[in-house]
Amino acid sequence: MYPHERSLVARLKDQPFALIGVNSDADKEALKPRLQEESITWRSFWNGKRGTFGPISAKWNVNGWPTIYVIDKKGVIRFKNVRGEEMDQAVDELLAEPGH
Amino acid sequence: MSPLRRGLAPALLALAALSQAGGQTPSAAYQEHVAAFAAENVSVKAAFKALTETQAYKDALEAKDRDTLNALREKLPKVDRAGFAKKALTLSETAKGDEQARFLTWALENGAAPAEATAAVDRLIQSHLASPVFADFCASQAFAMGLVRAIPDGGRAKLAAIEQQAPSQTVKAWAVYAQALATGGGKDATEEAKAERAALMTKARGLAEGTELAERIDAPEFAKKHLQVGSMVPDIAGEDLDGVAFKLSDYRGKVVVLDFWGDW
Repeated sequence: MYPHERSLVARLKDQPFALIGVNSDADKEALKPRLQEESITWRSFWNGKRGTFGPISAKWNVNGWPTIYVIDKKGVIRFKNVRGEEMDQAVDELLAEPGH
Repeated sequence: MSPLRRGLAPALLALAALSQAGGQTPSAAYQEHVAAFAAENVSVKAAFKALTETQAYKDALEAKDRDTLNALREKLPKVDRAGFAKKALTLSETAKGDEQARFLTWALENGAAPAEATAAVDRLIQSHLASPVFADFCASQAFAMGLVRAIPDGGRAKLAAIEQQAPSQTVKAWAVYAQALATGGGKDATEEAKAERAALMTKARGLAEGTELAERIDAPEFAKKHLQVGSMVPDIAGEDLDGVAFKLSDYRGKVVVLDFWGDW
């Protein structure tokens, strides 16, 4: 996953685009060196000390990782669980739409 | 940052988190126990990593030779989870108050065998039903899903006792929720069991009003209503990995990929 996400973030760095994570690792401190090693620069919510049993994934009924939502500029969910090239196409399609 | 501070900061953060869950700060004995367990996990992980770098392992992986892979993995050291849980129980005997609750819940969260798990739960019911450490444990997967697995014979009855005797409504709610999860979930569940599960879930939902558990129970319905393609995305208000508060709606006006991920 990381290489694809890294390249997406790099390619769209000047576009109105954000990759936002909900990190579900229980041990936040153990994760920090991994962020550096893997050049994970995007921002994540932390799902809390209970990891995959945390409150955000619970409310969102997430039962599998990764779970992905693609949201347009108006805040509408437009795609779910697109991966790889499909994710790129979804994002490019939404970036081409007017913002307001 | 100095090396000393770098080492101290995570330890202090971990301590702060622990002392929020209980009244007093955990004792040195508890911290030593947790650290020993963590060290054993690290060394077992390292041994596995070393194995994956050997030629024999790589060859077997390449050839998809399951028997050889299993034989190689078989030789690896393992974390003695049951042993650590037993140790926690022994240490709990001389600990007092929240400190005792901490050892007991630790054992339940980290692989206690049925005999130790039973002893730990009995002690918690006897002495710690009102403890904040116990309340915190009740909101864990180890409680909600793990207790009936840890105590196959009698786990349900322990949950019923907690439901009846705990003073906190939230703890009662979690105890009912755990009973619901242990009821009528399988593919071959009878209609009767399914109805019992639904009734328990409704009861837990009533007790949990306004808490995180209510959102957990409501999640399938919430997803149907608010998480479909075409839905306005619900907001998330939380903290990032540096502890800075932010909201998903801060990114309105941008195309957002929201990714529930973990480093595993």
